[in-house]
Amino acid sequence: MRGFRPTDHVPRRLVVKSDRFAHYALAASQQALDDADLDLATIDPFSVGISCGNNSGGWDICGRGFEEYYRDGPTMVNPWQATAWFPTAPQGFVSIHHGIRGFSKSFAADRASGACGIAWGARSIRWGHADVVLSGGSEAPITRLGVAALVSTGELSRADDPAESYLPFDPSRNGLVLGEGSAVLLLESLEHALGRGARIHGEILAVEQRTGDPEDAGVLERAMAAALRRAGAADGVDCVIAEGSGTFHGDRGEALAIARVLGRSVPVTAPKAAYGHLYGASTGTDVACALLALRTGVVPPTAGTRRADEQCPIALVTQPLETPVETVLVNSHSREGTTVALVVARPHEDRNAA
Amino acid sequence: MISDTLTEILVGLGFPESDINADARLRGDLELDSTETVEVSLELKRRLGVDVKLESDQDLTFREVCEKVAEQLPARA
Repeated sequence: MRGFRPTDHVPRRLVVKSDRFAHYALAASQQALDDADLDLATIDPFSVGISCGNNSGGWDICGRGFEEYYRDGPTMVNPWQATAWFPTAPQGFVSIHHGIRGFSKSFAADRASGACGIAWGARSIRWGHADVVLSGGSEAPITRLGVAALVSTGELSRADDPAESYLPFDPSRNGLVLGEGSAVLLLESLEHALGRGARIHGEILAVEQRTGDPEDAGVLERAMAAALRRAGAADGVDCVIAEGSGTFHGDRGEALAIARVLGRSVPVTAPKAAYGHLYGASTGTDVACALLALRTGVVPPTAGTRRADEQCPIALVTQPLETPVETVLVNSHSREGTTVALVVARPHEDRNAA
Repeated sequence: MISDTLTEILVGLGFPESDINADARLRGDLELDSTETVEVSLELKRRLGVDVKLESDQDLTFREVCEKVAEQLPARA
């Protein structure tokens, strides 16, 4: 990530011991806490959890560790290799750094890793396990080894021209481009947020997770329909932030599923076309885009895509769209069929007095 | 200078140079954890080719570590 200096966000001793994807998570977690104006020292550490997605682990430190092992021998491998690469490292480092002790989990589920993190974060609040959950995920796969591993998924765009590389729902779509970063949302029970006079950006009305045959887009339909039902949004939503994997069959299946559940006129967008697919950080970023759309009344475009493929019967947003936005559906759908649909809404009017 | 190299290693691990002095014990004063102690040994090996074990029960001072390194280095002209 250009311009990101880990030591601007993380104490140097901790930077040394951890991989870039943990640096991103530590930075984003701190920003989430600052934005929420919440000092964790003032609340019960067992009432705070972390629910975090990551797909790839820490490839940067793996590259270093492999070199140390093969070049200098097994006794010369850095002492952080085992703890720093592991996909649960962001959860671990963030919880140690902030003294968080509550119900926490990490999720590795391909493109839906971050969505699972948010789904379980919301669920743990509903179950009463936590009042506050740092929820989202982190991803840093752009190293020589990381990209080599992800090429084998067959999902990466092979276009030479960056402008033609990630075109969700476009007739000439040819795969996705990897992004890097972390997105952390501070989820909070409504009672807890109201009790401390928190500034509420949005309310999660529903999160539904389903798993199905990866070839069958029916799983997306079932997840979306269940989320709309739980959200009480029988009339639909004002916009959809799609998975938009950029694969030929994936986008077609998702478009057909959206059209069947919500019709062909609801605005659909995939803002990740502009910054790449963030896997563990993907849904957190999509929800942040949804919250901005709720605040500004502008649906962000699917950058790069000129028009939706005829086989994708949706109203794709390719230029910023001004429209009243009260509710947004966010989709996440993995290569192997893990699927999450989430409905987020503008906070109730009388809940942000100031 | 061995002490310059050891200082560089500790600063690289994130310890403020102002905390580092000849009498500072690595664990008791600087508060190195076990992984950082291992990494100091590995860096001394990488940079100077010496095998200095720091993981023992004895909490060595900065000066004592320099002395252990000096014992292993060939005499300088």
